[in-house]
Amino acid sequence: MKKIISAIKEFLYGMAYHDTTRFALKTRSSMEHLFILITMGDMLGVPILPPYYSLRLLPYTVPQIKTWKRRMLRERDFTDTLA
Amino acid sequence: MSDIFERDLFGKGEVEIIPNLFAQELDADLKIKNFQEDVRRKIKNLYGISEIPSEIEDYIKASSAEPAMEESAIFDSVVDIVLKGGYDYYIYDLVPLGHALYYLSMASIYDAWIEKISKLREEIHKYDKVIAKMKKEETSTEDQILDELMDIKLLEPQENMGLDGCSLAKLYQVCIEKSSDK
Repeated sequence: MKKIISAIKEFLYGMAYHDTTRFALKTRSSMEHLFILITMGDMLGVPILPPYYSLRLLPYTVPQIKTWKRRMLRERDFTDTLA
Repeated sequence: MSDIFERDLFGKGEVEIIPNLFAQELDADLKIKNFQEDVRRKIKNLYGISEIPSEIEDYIKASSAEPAMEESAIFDSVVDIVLKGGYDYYIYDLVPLGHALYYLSMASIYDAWIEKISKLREEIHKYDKVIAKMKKEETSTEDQILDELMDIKLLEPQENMGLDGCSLAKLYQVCIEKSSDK
């Protein structure tokens, strides 16, 4: 019985929060990429301030650089707005 | 500086000219080189790798050739000297006027930039907390990038060197004869 109640709870929780969580994750990821763009944009040729302080932040952004570059440089079409 | 005191002071650290007067001519290239090495070491330690990924290495190498990188490195060194303390007065020998003003205004630009990106980082951290709550995960109270930004903020040259209109700082123009051998 406990298992069923717990499953129902999880189901309702998922129904209520799944979309919100997805949206929050997407927004967070966009903000992270915006952050890398304004701190390390010169990697892609976007001029930014002298990268002296950016270099101090570089060690913490290393894992995201590849994904960020891929996201920034990939081709986009109208279907992206639906995702 | 070496010209003024007719002694080779370049990159030699603090040199006593006369009792109670010390001079230092900063080696910006060395500062940048050491700084880049620190960044490499930090990356290797953080991720347990022996070699820096090529795109990151290229970025680190290219950064030394970026405009105003040298000035930023000197600024950082001067802030370090002032924060270290130990002297009653600091005389900062700058480049000719136009460049000096541009150079000093750089501090306020950095200030605004760091303020903006810190705010963005705080927003990101808020999202982290919300997402962790929704996913019923443990919330991480630490954001290393935000911590680093706070650390940079603490070292803000403007506030610490009194360059923002503080009555303790004065800007003098001094004309000296150029040495004849140059």
